[in-house]
Amino acid sequence: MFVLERLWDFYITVFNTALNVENLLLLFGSVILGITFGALPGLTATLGVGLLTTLTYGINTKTAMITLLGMYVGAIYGGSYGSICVNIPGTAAAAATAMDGYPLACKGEAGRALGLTTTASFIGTMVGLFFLAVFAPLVAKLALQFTSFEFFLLAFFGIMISGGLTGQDLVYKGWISGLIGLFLSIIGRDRLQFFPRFTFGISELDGGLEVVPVLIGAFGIPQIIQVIRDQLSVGEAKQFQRVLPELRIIARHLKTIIRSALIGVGIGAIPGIGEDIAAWVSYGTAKKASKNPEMFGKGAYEGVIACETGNNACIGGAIIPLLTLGIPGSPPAVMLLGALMIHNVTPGPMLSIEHPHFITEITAILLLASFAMFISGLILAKQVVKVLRIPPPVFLPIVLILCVIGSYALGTKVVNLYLMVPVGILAYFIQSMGYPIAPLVIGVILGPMADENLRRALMVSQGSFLPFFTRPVALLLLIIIVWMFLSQVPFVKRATGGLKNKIFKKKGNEDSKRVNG
Amino acid sequence: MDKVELRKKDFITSFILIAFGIFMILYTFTYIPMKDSWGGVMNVWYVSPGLFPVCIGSLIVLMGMVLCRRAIKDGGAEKFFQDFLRKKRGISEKTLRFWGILLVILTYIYLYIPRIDFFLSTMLTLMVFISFFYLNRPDLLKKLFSFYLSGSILFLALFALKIDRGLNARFLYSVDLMVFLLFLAYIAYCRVLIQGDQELKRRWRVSILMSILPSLFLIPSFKYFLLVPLPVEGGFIEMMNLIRYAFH
Repeated sequence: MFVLERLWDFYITVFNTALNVENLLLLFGSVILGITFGALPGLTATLGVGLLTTLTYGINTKTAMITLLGMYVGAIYGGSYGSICVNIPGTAAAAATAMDGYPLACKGEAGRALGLTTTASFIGTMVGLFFLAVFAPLVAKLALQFTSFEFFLLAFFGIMISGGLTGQDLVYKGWISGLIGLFLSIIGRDRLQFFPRFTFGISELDGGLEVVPVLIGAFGIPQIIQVIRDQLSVGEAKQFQRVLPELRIIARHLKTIIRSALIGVGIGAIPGIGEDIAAWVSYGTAKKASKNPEMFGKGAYEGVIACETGNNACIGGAIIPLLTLGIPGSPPAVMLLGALMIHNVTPGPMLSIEHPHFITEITAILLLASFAMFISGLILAKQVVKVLRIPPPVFLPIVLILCVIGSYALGTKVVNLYLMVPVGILAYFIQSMGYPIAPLVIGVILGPMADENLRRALMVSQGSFLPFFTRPVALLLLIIIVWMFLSQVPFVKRATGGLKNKIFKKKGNEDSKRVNG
Repeated sequence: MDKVELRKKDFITSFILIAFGIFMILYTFTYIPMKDSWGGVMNVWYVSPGLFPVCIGSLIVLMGMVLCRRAIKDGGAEKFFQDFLRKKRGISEKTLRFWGILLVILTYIYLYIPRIDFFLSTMLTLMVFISFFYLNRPDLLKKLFSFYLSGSILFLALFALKIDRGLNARFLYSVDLMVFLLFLAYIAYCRVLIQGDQELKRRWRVSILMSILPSLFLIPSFKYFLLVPLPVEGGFIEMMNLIRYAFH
């Protein structure tokens, strides 16, 4: 009965949204804007969602979500345009697409490659939203059982895992980035006793750092500096005639699609791990599982399909922890969290009680956004590719202005801009030294949650740490966190490495005996 | 970036992190009550607003030490001391570009936005930013950088000495007018520098166009459609108001 009720609710929301001309126009507009944004090298889905967030603060939550999810879906898909046509991925999520997309374009199959990415992205988003619809209510129910102990550990776990998996150079650089984010979250009056911390007597800092200017600064400014400084130039776009859905090729690679979609959803659900990792893992797995792995990198349809299905399926996956636990699954989801906070919607276990229809609404919007992306992709691909001709030194200064106006418009405080710039410059420097940015912003967002829940938990237990060991979920999270720490200690690394070698050597010997026998 | 160079930077960063972590801990113990009464509430250590900062500070120190150990092991410290003793070379093009971007952002946010008409400061910033890099010649970038820096220093002095207040009191929007003159002078200086080169002339025209058109689109959109009051509404926005409300 509950499932039928939810299904009914879902269809009603879909039809209500789709039959409203204003909503439909906004949806298509934001999807096309997202595709354009994603196609332009140097502009990411995260930045797009962030900039659009600043324009939605005056409109109602549902309309805001239509525009933001439209932008998110469009930008992740749009990244493939640059990858295929000029071999420069529009977004990091589309970097893997360039591996086979560009060789296909060089063979004169740019239209076909775009058709494949359009269809694969559509299927990926649909699978993601299916998981969102099925699992989000279950996770939300489970999360209702959590207390401060679990929430503190969950916030800490989010930062740790996001740091650990996004740190390209050293794992602990990701953690350091997360700790810097946690420090930034401390600035201002604490929420339990309202004591000013690290404000240095500056009254403007009493309210703490506003999330959206920090996010825009952390993602926008490093991007602008990096692209202009390194003179990222765009080559001549490859020509193509028509973009068709290429259903026959898609049907031939159904297995790859299902596998990549599951990978995408799974990676999306892990805090802070974005679409780029989902695409690379999907690509790597598709190559390993392929009958023709030697074709990868030379224009394999399978490669293009795997990446695009993986990165778009990640969207639904990333929204699951965002809505149910208040922990964003990917960097653009961090921006969505900021947007929800502006609209007085607090994601987390209480969401299904405070806003019972919200998850259904988001699922319905995601469904419509994926249809809008599919239609726009097939019809407008040729026109959108034209934006690749705009040189970065011309459009990036305009992006800077958008970052500035966007940060300022939220609260009309110049002090937001004063904070956005140092955060942006700090983010640029740490990024250039191999520190990932995602854990930093996740730290800023989850810091208050970790701080409050740690103190609340200790208040309940009168200063005892024992409940961390007696509560099953808390203990499980604690073990994972401690293991993540310990796995970086050289002694433990050597010991586990030796153990692994022994096991595999033993298994290898057994296998060879069996073969010889 | 090559690994040893990265470790050299890690070596420096690790000390910054350790120092910062220690600062966090000391600040917390000095300024944040761990056990005392605050706002009528008697604190115990586990409810104190200082608990979380101390934890984070300690973790930062620990991570700094781990990073330092790794940097030393991978030759980062050695590279740091070698480079420290070596004479520095001139500024590379990339560094110049970086300083160019930084100059534009810093002057826009900290110098012009809080004091000058928002439309004018945006237009000037766009013109400078686009021309710096779209003209794409290091020699031009150096000259334009010096020109814009000199102009900005002049205005910085004007604001620091509070001369702008006196000028604006005597003649309304006089500082806006002066910044507009800087904008025109910058355009003229650009034109002088690129004489004879047709491609650069085209790019110069694009720069002017792209500094005016987005400003004309974005600023009225925020002001009149999203009803966002702008940071400083000077002479130019006053002019926009006159045009906007003339039809009402």
